[in-house]
Amino acid sequence: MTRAATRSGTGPLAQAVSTGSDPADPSEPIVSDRPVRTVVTGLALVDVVGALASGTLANSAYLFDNAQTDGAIGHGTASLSTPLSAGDLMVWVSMGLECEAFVRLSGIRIDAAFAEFVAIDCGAYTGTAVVYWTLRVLKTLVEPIPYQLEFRLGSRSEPMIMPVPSYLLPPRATPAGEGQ
Amino acid sequence: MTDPANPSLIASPSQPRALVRNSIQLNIVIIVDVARAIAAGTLDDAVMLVDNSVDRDEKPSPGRGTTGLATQAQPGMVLNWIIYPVGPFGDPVPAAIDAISFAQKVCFKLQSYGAVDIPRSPDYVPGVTPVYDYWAGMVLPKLAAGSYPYDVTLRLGEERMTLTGATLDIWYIPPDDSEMLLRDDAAEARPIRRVG
Repeated sequence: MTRAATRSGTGPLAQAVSTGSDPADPSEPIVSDRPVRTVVTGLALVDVVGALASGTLANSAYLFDNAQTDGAIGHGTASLSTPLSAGDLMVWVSMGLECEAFVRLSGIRIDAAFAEFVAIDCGAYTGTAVVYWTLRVLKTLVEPIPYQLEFRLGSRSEPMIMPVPSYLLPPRATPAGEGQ
Repeated sequence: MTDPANPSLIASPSQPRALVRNSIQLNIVIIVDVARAIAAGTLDDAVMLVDNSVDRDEKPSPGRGTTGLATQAQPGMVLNWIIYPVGPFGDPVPAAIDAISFAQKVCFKLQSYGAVDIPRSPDYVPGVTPVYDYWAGMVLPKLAAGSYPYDVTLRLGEERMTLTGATLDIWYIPPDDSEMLLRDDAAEARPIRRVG
C-alpha cells in the first residue's frame, strides 16, 4: 500500500479544511482536479503571557506536527522541518498555553521567490474564531523552503513573528513510481 | 502572487480579520467586600464583576467593574466564575459561590469545581482551610444568539445573598466576507477573503 493510499486526504480534517482555491465557495472540498496526497497538521503552542512579557517568541513558542514517521524533525522547538511532496497540504493551527489568553495565527511569511513551489491560504473553523493556515506544495521541492509563522497575541496590536524559520523539506527518497 | 503589503512575500487570498477575539475560556471575577455585605445585610455597593472578554469591536464587555456586567461570549466557550473576597490579606474569608442560575439552560455542566476532596484532605477544617473552588460551565454549542441574564447566589459566612443584573451576551463569529484590496503595482483590485 502506498503512502498516498493510506493517507489520501479523505479524513475528517481534510474535509473540514477549505483551501480557499475558490473564494466564492469556501465549502468547496479540496479534492477534485488537484488531489491532496497527505495532510499534515502543525501545532504551534504559544506561551502568550511569556511572549508578551519578554517581547519575543523565543522560548515561548513550541512547534509540533504529526509527520515524524515521514522524517519531520525539530518537534518541541521553535524550528520545525517537515518533508512534503507535491500536492501535500500542511495545516497550521495555534494553541495558547494559557487557555484564557488570545492567540491567533495571523500569517505565514514565505519569500516570494518560492511562489512556484508553495501557496498559502487561511480559513476559520465554521462558527468559531479559530484560524488555521494552509501550506500547499504545488511542485516537488528541490531545496528546503524557510517560512516564519506570525501570531497575534493578547491585545497587542502588532503581530509577533517567529525568531527563527521553520522549513518545508523535499520529500525523502521513495520507491520508483510512488514519489512525484 | 505576492503580498501587496510586502511584495517580497507570498500573498494569501484570505486573511484573518485584524481583531482581538476572545480565547476559548473566559474568566468572570466576582469581587466582594465581605465585611460590608455582612454588616449591611445586602450586596448593594459591595460587589463588582470583571471579565476578560471583548465585544465585536474589541471593546471590553459592557458593565465591567459593576454588577451589570454583560459578558461577551460565543457558543462552546468555557466560562469560569471566580470569587475574590476583599479583606485583610491572609485571613480566611468565608465567601463562596453557592449557585448560578439562568431562566433557561444556557450552560452545559454548570457547577462548582475544585472543592476540597475531603477523603484526600483529612486535615481539612471547615472555615479555616483555604478553599479555591469556582464555578464553570460551557455555553451550549448551538445556543441562539441573545442576552441571557443570570443570578449568582453568594455564600458569605452563614448568609446567602443573591446578585442580579449580570448577563451573558451570546453572539456568533460573523461569516467570511471579502473586501477589495488594491494591488501595489496596478489599479486592478483584488478581492481578499476575511475570516475569523
